[in-house]
Amino acid sequence: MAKKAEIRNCVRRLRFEHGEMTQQELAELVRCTRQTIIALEQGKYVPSFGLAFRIARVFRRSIEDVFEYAE
Amino acid sequence: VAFVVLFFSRGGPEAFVRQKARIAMTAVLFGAGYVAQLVIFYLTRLRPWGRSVAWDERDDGIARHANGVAFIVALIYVFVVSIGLWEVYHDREMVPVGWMWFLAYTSTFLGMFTHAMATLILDARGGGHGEEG
Repeated sequence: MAKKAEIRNCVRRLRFEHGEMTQQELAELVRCTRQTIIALEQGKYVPSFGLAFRIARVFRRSIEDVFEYAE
Repeated sequence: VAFVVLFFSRGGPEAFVRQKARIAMTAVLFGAGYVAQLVIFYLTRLRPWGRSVAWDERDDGIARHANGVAFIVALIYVFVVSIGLWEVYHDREMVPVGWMWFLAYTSTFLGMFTHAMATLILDARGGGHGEEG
């Protein structure tokens, strides 16, 4: 089984809070693939700073509101 | 598989280099395979139509890791085959030159096959971290 990334995120929750935005819509807004959004929500992928900032900007949140470092 | 059959049938590596038709058939076989791969890649990942992004940083990371895996596997394979040939032929102090064709084609195939498998596995596992590499 794949090791879960130590950086958690609440992208899934934020999508639903933003008018039930689909994974495809978010992917298009942040210029990545839907597969990346899926992997990200499953905690299997930790995005680059650039992608993390773009995601936070779409939800009008700070990066710390979206991503959390789990020690 | 078709290459291995072509290579080892009717005289094996020693006869392979003398039969130009077999060399040509092998080239056509691999050429067709590469063209098919290119077409599939274009249709599935680099399609110019549609709004959605077909390739992103996660794909870059996966491709980078898969390249590394394929490179190491191909290196080990070339080493093992070379030592194997030496082991078999060192008493005769010469190796049939046909083995060079075998090594060239199979190492290329193995490298690409390993790359494809590694890509599938890494993709299924999520792709790791975007900041790596």
